[in-house]
Amino acid sequence: MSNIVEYGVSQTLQAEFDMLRDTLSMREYEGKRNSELNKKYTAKTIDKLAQYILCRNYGKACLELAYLCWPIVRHQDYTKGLLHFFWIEEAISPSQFRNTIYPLTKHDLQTPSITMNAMGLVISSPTQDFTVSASRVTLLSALLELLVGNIANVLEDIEAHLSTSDTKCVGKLATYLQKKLYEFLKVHLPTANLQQKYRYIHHWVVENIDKQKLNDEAVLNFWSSAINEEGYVKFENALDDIVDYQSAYEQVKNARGIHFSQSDEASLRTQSFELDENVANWLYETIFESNENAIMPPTWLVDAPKFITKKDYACVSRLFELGSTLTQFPLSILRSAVFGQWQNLIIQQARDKRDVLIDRPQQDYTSYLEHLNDWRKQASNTILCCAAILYEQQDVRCLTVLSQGIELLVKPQESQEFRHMLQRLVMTNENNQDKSQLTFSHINRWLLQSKMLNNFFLLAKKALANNNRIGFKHSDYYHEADIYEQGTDHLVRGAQLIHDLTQTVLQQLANTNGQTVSLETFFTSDLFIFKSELVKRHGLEHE
Amino acid sequence: MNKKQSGGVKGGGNANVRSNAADKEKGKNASAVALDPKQSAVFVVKQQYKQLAHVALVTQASETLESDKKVVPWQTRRISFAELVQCACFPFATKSQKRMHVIKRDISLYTQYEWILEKVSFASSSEQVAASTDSKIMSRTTDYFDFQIKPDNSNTEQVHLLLSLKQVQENNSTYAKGVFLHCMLKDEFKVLHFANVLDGQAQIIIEKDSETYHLITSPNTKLYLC
Repeated sequence: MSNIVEYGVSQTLQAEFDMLRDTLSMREYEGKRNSELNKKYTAKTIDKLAQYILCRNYGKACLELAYLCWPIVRHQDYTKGLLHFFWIEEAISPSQFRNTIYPLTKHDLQTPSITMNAMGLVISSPTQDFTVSASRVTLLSALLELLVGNIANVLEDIEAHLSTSDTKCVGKLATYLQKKLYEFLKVHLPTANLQQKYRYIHHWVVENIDKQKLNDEAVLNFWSSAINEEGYVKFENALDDIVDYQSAYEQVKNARGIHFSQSDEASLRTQSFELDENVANWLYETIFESNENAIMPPTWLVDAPKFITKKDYACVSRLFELGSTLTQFPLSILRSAVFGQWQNLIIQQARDKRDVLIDRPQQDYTSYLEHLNDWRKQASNTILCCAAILYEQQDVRCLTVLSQGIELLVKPQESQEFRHMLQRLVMTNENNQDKSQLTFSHINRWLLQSKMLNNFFLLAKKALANNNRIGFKHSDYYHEADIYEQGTDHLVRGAQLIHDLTQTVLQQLANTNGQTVSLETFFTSDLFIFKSELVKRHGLEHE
Repeated sequence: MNKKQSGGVKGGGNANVRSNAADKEKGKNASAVALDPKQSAVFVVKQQYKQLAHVALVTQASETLESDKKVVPWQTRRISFAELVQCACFPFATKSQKRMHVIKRDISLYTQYEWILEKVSFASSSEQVAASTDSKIMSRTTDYFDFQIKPDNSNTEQVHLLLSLKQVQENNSTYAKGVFLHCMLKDEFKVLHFANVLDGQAQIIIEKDSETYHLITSPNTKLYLC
């Protein structure tokens, strides 16, 4: 496993990013803490930094950082310098940044002079103005943290660059930071293995598939044929890589055109640091901006508030990662969940030198789908908790969230009744009053009018009372209302993905050779295939 | 890594030999197929992102079967720059105390830590000229503070450390948390806390037969006041 971690990203770089994620805020030491640890950066900030770093799209960020540091270094009498600004004062959230910078704008500071506008900090030199957005400062701080941890004396170098009277000092500093970052990354992003992997899949696809449309059969065939290929002992690796291959193909097809040569790809890592900014930018846009959901699964659901446990997230993580493409590989998802897990167990047992069990997996397809169905029920329960919290916070969104939870929880008939009841209440509201916007007092009035609504809210409150997870347990530690709404959206999406998966699996089984195959029969047939593959791969003998 | 896995169970050895020959053959064929550099670059970045982003962490943490990812204990984990700053500013926090032991042993951390102390301290006193290496320095004078070590008349085992700040800050809240005196001598360092500062004066008592006394009287010790 540790080798997989190193595949394409060195263990050092991996550890650097783990460290950034774990970095505690100064507030943690100042005693201003609640029940959770105060992290300096959110997971989203560090993910974003990873995206820039991997695409080599950090040129603009380096320039922004250089500009941000310029007034801090030059006006040290007021700012107390970089260390104070980024670490001690930690003026990196948009509001803290504004609070810290605003007093400076009251002094008549020259070269650079600074002002604030709605977007952020405007830094003016005799030749031009540059704006650093307040919302970018956290990310720039994380970038600086990465630089400081890995490039010797970088803070002194920044100060030295910016202390000169050279009018181009900011530009020169940005280029310097870019160069240093490039040199650091060159060692830590070894891509040869991944390129080899891509070449291998591409070759296989060209040889074996007529159209560039991959499906479950292709995944299984690919895995069987790759028996001696490094990296493909596990079925789940074959699935992941085929999906990545397919999405790379789709994303490039849909991306805007750009001239991109073989040497550009190579220079991403090795040849020169002067990578065409267009190429880096194209790569970033294509991968990370085209389809945010697919590349950024909502892993934060397991953090705070804890919408689901890590274990529960793991069982749907692949669904979130695949998103809408899951309907292209429905059977492979089943295979990976059931036989993939079995294979992991076999590998583990072999490694522990225990007797290897190769009888049958712990679960079959029916029990796996039942498990997913339970997930839906649990999700609906959590959504009810979100509704109860929003109600406590007197947020009008509690009603929408409640109905989303109920849709998942109850039978279609009851859910329809609930919808009708809501419609009636909304209509009465529209008739009686001057079509004013829905307010929290409406909801309170409806609770008196509708026993059904009242009961469901009571159910939600009861669910919340039994929920001991972070962010649900105690009203003192509830988070902002928005996150409960966002969490609900993703839980609903998870439930929808489970629904789509189940439907597609059943459709595929119905279409097999023109006759319907039961889930059990399909499992038995797969069991035969996988058993024979696993025997080949792990050198196990038939009982 | 997968070859290693299959090598761990029966019958893996032969497969490896076969696979090497097959690899070479495939390498030849693969180079003949035209590759799209854009797709290749996208594929590579996507795979790397899975490892670096939170995605991988959550899934790995939850897969108990795959839990052989090494959990790096904090003692051996590198200490981040932010943590060094936190140590300098909050030397008595439990986390800081634990980290100090690691900082002492690592020259690059030590250098960084000292650089931070120079930045965050409002006054410092560098190494002193002494008559001999054995001699003890019982007082130091700088532009910003005087520091004296005086015997305790009622208890010969103890000494008083007297700190006198010359430029008393107008804002009394500056010393609300007291003053931390960082004493640095090669791989030894200690932090003393003058909890109460009144009109720029503060004092504490320490045991004469202690590491702290040795450190504070050594001419080579650097002092930083935070």
